[in-house]
Amino acid sequence: MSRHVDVIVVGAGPAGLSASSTLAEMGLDVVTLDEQPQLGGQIYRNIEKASPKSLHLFGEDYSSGLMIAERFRKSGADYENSTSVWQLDSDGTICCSSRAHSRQMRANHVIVATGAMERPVPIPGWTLPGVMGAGAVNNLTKESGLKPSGNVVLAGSGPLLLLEATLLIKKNVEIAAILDTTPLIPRVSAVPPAPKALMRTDFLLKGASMLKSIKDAGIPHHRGVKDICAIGTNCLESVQARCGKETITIPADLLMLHFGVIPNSHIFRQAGCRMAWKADQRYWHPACDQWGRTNFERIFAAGDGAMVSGGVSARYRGELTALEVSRCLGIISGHERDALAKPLKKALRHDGWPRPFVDAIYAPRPEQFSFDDATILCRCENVTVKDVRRAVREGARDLNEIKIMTRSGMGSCQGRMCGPALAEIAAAEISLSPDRLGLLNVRPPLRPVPLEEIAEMELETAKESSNWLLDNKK
Amino acid sequence: MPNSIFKYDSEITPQMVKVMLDGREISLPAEMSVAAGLLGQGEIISRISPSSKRACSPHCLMGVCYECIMEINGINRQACMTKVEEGMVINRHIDGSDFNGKYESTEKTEANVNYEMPKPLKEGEPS
Repeated sequence: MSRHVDVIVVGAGPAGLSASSTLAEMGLDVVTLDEQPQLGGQIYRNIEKASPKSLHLFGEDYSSGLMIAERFRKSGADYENSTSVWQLDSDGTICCSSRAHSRQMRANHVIVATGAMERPVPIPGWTLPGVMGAGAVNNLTKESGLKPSGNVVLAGSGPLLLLEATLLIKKNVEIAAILDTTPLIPRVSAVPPAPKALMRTDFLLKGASMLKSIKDAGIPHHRGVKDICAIGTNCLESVQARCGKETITIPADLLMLHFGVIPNSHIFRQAGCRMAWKADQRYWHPACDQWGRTNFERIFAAGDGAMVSGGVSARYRGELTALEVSRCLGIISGHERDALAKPLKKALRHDGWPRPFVDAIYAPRPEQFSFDDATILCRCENVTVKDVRRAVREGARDLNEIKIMTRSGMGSCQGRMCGPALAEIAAAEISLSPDRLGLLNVRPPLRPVPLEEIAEMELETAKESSNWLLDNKK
Repeated sequence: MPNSIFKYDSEITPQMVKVMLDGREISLPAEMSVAAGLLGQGEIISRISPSSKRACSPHCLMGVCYECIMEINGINRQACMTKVEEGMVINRHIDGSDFNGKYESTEKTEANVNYEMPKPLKEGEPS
């Protein structure tokens, strides 16, 4: 028989942990499912076992996770690690896989807090061994105490790129160069939110000190860089880029790419949640109300998976969602919910002051991405940019058509790595906004699951779950 | 072989356990993911891409990119989300042997023969 609980929380980052703690503290039956082996998500990765040195290195942004993790452990929420949710239904049923065993679970409400991922931007040679996401290196440091050695080049745009550079400097890693693709002239849209950002001097000082430490370390920081290219035969050997009129070539063993972060939205799309396009940041996110409720009454979105605004904000938003869910379950009244939410909303506003300014400065611009015909777009299926352009010229006007024609998005990552760029490339071909080409369909299983695992599953009822695989099992 | 692009913080001395990597016994640090453990040992190649036939290394290390898929204890898994355990058998198939070796054994078992030649459908069975 499948288990029934009050609330299932998917993800154990700041939003998932706060939401779980708040609900479990109210005495509700909460299960927190985490696909990672340890709680904390990406920002608080390995927080419970972090060494004092690591806590010191990452500073308060990281160590504040200790308190969140401790609260969660005390709250009584049921934590299941290494558990991947591979299907979410709008009625609150989920299927998940852990330790080579799949099962079904039901809840009155599901809070999805799957967090964010780095925006994948294909560049020539990005499939070479030695090219990684900047977040990947950050994760390695938190999880394993590994640090890069050899020639390290950072490339891309966004505050996290600079943050990663300062962390590497602190670890005495020699950085050969930073190739910053942020345009030299900020957008006009960065001007109106600037005064609000000035109210958070602490935040601005942090940014200034990051830039200073990069400058003090004497790292070549090239700005307004274009056409980054990873070069090598069997693995990365050098990085090339255009900087103004000159072309620079830097020998490199490790290239760390970062082009901002976007919500990890596959699970919402699979469940059929209505998605909204955030035009300034060029990403899709689930459409929700102020509490994180999606178009399905039982499905909520919290944290960066709902919209990217950072770890601190994710914590508050996780708590706000939990308050509304507890109201739905009759634990607190609407009045109590509002009273409890008031300080959270205030803190959220305070945290959010600099956000529009930073977002506007680092907003992705279509002209920033000049995709080369020969670049591999879909890493899983080895589909090039040219293949996609040809499909569009042949008349494809929907991403799913292009997917069928080219196989882009059909591989094991299920379009996670190619989807956003696929939309950009195809849309540019026909001078439309990427959201006009739709979204790649996402179907269960969200994670590759061995068929024998599904065959062994005990299913409660064969009610219409609109799932071919499960409906036809018997 | 590519250069080792990661090293351990000098102060960290991880506890090592023995695992089988591509048929040879090596030591990997316990308490971390297979992907991280291998990167720390200079093993930066995770697999040969089944589509491009070129070597890959882990890219995102957070479960998104699937570039670190390896055959771990007989199942293709993301090495960045699998913890190192004593006695683990890891096959990357980077010597050119076919990646879809999941159910293949060197012996021709009955299951293998059936796999190669599916039985014809009986009458009345749905196709």
